[in-house]
Amino acid sequence: MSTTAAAPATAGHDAGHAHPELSFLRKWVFSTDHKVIGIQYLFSCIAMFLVGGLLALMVRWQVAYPAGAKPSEEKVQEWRDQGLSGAALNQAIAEFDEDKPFPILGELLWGEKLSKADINAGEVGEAGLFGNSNGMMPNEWYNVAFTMHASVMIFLVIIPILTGAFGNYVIPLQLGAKDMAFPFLNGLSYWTWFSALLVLVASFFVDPAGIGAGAGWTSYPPLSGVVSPSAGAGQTLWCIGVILGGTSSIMGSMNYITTIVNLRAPGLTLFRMPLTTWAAFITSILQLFATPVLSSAMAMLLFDRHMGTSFFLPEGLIFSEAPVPNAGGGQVILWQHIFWFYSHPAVYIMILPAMGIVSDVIAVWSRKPIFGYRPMVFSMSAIAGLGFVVWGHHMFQSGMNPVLGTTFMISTIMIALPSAVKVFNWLGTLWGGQITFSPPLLFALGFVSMFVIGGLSGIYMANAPFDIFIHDTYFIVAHIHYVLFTGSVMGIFAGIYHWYPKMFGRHMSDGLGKIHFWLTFSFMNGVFFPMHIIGLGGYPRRYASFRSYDFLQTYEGMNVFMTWCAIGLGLSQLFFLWNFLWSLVAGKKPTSDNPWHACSLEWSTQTPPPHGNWIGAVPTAYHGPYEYSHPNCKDEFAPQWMPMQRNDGGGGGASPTAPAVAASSAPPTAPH
Amino acid sequence: MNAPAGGVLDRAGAVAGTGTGTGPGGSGSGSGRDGGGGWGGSGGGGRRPGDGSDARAPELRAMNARMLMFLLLSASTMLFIGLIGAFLVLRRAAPQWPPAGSPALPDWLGWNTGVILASSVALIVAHVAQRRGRQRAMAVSLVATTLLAFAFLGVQWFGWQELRAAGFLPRTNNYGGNFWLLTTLHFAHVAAGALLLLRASVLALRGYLPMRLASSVEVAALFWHFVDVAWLVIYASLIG
Repeated sequence: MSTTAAAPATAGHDAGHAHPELSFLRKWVFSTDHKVIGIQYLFSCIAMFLVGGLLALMVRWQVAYPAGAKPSEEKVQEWRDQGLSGAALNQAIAEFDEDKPFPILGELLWGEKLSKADINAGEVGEAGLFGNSNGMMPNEWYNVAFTMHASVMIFLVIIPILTGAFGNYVIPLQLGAKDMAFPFLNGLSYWTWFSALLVLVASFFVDPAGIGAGAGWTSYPPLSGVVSPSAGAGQTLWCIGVILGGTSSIMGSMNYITTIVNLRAPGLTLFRMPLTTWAAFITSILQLFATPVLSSAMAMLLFDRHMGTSFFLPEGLIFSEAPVPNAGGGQVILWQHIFWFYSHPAVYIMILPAMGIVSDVIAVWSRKPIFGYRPMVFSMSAIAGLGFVVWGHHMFQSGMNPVLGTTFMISTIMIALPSAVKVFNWLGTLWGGQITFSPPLLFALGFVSMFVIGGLSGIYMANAPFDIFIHDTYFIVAHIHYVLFTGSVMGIFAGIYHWYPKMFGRHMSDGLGKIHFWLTFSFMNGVFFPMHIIGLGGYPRRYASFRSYDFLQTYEGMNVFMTWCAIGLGLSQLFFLWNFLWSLVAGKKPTSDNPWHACSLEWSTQTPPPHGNWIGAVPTAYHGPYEYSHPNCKDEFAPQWMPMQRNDGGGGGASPTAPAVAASSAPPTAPH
Repeated sequence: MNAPAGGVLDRAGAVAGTGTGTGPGGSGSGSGRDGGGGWGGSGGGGRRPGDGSDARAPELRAMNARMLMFLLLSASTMLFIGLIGAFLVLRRAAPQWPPAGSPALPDWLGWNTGVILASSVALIVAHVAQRRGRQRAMAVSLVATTLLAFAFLGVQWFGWQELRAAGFLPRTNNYGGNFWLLTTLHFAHVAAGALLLLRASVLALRGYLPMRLASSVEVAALFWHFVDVAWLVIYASLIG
């Protein structure tokens, strides 16, 4: 029966999908296959992850080693002991120079490092790519570094890798769909995003003074609203890049929503979808409604910058000691409201998909069904819904009616409830499970544990009185990195290690993966945890140099420690990079299409899946996606695409380890 | 070729029956394949998941297209909400409205409101004709809608020139900035809608049967009525 059913289905597939072998360009570059597009996103995002990471190291280096170090009192005493005094001592102090350019790149970017004696003698060193400042990062460029670090990580790494790479690759496979609902729109969305990437990268280079976008990733006007040396052509390109990236997000989310609503496999009800797909669904809704608002803000900002309007420029604005001619009637806080109306939901756009991935990974690697599957879905929905009404907590210091501030404070604290539901459900899933500490699970555990730290500091910050104290200090930086790096990025790594065999038909090395995890886990806490402490000590974010302020001198040692941890964190990613690239060609091939013995539909097809995902008809879903260690099931797990075989002889279907041909017209999986 | 697909879907219905809540309705599975499809009457099966080859079935394509249009309109709505909301905030905060130096908006804006309303009415006629299967009436009213759409674009264009000549520019004051940003963005939406209408009209004039144009007309109508309502809101906030 199965063969008779499968054969015509295959013929139907050929009739429907009858295309000749595509040219290289159509197959790998301008592809409409969701898997290729997902892999394109993955590779581009990993490349941009390196760029964003490098920018982070530059930021850290500048914070630890800003220019203008003065000799310590001990040093001066040492000189005195050596017999220097008067003019000679003054010259020694004047020529003291412990400026440390950023290793390797510093002199390439900001010119040759000369000693003070040479400079005083009138020598001029060779200029670097961004001008000549003696190898040291100028303060304006520090603004660019932290602006672009955040912009690259948010718009070019975390959002696109979660929604673009995993969304594209995993959603149709978990749904049992042959492709997205709109394959062409899907390809278009990748290339729109790629043009955003080009525009954002170009923003470094367009300004003759070598200054890119430097108004911070939040781009608060009036700084960002007026064309000026610190917000020049690079800032304009930044706005355009963000609009392009947003357009791509909107196209992607429309596609995902339509696919999830209309193209689910037979039997795959909404509440049989794996949580990764649920998270993608909820995230897409967030993106669809939040991103256009950001585009409207960017359009107004561009008008302010280049059309002489005054949406955000207040009356009587003076810039660089000259009045701004078009300023008048605008509202600076208006920008903050519109911007955070997008950017707070954007935080959930960056964490919800990681939560979905982590849920799948934990269920598979602890061989337990998700504890409280429906509460997981409802809590994600609650987080998404509340996410739209909390944006004011970014603005407690901006001047807001205290009643409104209290409202935002309460709605923000309420987000702790669904978040806690999720954390306890992950713990409940792990409880009593048969846990394998594989790289994906290690990263998932890293996510859960570190997300708690980020979540708890979030509860502190949600309180307006406390927030006023730590506003714009490193406490905020610590929180955002505990949520986005030790949260989202850990989820991303978990997903990459988990689905790598499905994507590329090879295994990544477990050993390297574990080294990568432990180094990353240790170093990231070394970087981000002390930020809480210096933040409570009042260390402000976004200051190029602590040397100008006496009260910050105490934190020099901590800053140096964090910087070297950051360098260690950067270097430990090389283990990942090597593992990822080397395994593409030399990784162990999986022995079966379902090497992790997982239940969701993406594991029912070949590894890697063919064009069209399933040869012949798509599978049918017979039950939920997490039937691991079911007490009434004969086998250790019951894949979604086969009816559960019961102990009491009920149900039907084949053993999950045998080819899935017996009871369904679902396609035979590839020969093992 | 239909047999195995139907078989899969029938089984799907059976499986879903045991599932929870939002099961797929298994009815009407193969009907879309003859190219007639049309979902005005026969698409009652509701959500109909299927295998990938179904993505080519006109009925599912129509469902996808309609969904896409609804989602696109949600996004556009949020875009206009951002801009109009900002406008209303600025307007309320201004000491005097309209600010000094703004000319009165010319009458053509009001006339154009009439034009776009008339086009929506013509489109409703076209949509009814399409559903009742009257090819000629559908074609005529579609062409009328399209002509009115382009008329709106033309009037808007010449009206803009008039305001420019009067010195009303984005940099004039906040009124100018909001006026130009909102009307330009709306103009872009109208242009896109006019192209959708043009496509439907050309197909209708080439003699496509109402059944086959169901999706084109529906999608164009959704978009066009949105553009119409958006104009009413924008116009009201600009003059009011």
